Amino acid sequence: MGTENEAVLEGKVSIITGAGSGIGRACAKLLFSKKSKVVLVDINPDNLAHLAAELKDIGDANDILSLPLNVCSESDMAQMASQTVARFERIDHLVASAGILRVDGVLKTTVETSLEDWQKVIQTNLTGTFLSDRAVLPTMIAQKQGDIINISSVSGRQGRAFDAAYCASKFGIIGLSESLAEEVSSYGIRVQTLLPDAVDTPLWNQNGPQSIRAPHTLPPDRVAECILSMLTLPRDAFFLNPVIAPFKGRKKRRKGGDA
Amino acid sequence: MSAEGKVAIVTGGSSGIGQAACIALANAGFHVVVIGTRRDRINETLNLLDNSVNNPLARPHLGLTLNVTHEDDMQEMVVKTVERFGRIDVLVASAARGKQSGSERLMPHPTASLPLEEWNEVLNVNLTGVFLSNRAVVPVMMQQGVGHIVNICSSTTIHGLRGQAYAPAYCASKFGMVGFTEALAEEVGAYGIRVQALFPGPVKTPLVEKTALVRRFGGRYINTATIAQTIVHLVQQPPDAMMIHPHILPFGG
Repeated sequence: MGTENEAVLEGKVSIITGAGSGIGRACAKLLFSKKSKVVLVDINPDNLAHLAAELKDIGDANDILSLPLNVCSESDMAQMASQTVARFERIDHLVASAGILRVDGVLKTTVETSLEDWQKVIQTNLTGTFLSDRAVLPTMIAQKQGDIINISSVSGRQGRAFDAAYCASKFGIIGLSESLAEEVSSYGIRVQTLLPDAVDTPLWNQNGPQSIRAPHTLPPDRVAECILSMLTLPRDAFFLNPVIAPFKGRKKRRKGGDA
Repeated sequence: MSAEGKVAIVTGGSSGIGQAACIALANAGFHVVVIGTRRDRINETLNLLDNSVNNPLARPHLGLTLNVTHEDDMQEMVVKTVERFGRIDVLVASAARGKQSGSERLMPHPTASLPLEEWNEVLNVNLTGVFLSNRAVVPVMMQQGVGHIVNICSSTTIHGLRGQAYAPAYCASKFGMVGFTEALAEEVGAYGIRVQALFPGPVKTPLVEKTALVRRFGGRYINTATIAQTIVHLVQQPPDAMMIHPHILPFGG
């Protein structure tokens, strides 16, 4: 929230899951540009490599740790924490951004949703958030300080047809975060949950071309900036489940023949 | 995002959240227009703005003794601001009252014995005052095609805004503010005007310190500077994004 507070990020250690694309990627770039050391976690090693290469152009390669890991795996998440501490000696921030919308990007009614597909979405989004949060807690508790930001969604407050598993997982993240926040606040660990509206990312693009009304999506940089403001908020306060949404502003004049 | 040349009006600007917002906005490079009903407090605030942090963009500020519950005053607020600075980028509507002015009572009235006069005064300042101040700036912001209004609401519990015993007028006024803010936001969004309500938990201000509100939050206050920084952040967000109904509560760590 202003440059004096952002200087506070310098030298801090930030783990970002889902760093390979979308919100996680934008967040990793922004935090790194503010001189945070970044631990990039993603299931896709190519995406991680591309991001790391970009970051090396704008800062010190020694401040980057790339970990191709799966948030669904307990042992991977334990690795995430132990390798971070081994390299950087602390964990200041975790941004749990890894998530999927649907399996194979296909819209399904609840009736058509297989148990396997349901479990995959819940496992990645909700269990993955649980496992990544849990993995960093011992370090943060020992530090008596830490910031966790879990990414939910406006779909975590209001369900939508054809995305039962996604909505359930995003509702669940809010419940998990609120529980955890109450448990660890006395250890100086601040747990906040961000609820973005539609964001222009590969996840959102699974919705395909929108024929009836072009949705206004947020650039992922806006979400990253919001995450930055939550991390740099002075420690006497926290945001309660904030929503970040696109603001439509001026309607463009529609010319004849426009779609 | 540079605020150079931008103009912010803050009602209730001479104390509490409003005053802290004036200082933070001035530090961020805004021309600040301090609105209050007491000239002595406005002058104190202006002195704080002049003496505030080294800001190379520091610009003159303006103090106006005006009352948010008077239509003519709110018109004057807009006319004088535009006369002096040429535009209105931000309105922070922070003027609010917990109970009747001049009341010596230490204990709040239960609803059953709340005088109509106190109900009216609280609603008038907290709700009608927000309507009148917002209404006054909207035409200027519409002509500009850009503007930002932040109405300071309240988070009365750790879950957000809920009614509270012994605060019927205050709670009614804050709930009303939410409905008003949402209605206005939907009307003027297409004109590039962002209207939002901010919901702070207990902030260390004279208004809150006279109440028992902080007991619902484990005795923890938020510093006015933190709220002020949040307000500055909200009004400096790029024009394609907005936080919806941000609630900011004390952190217990």
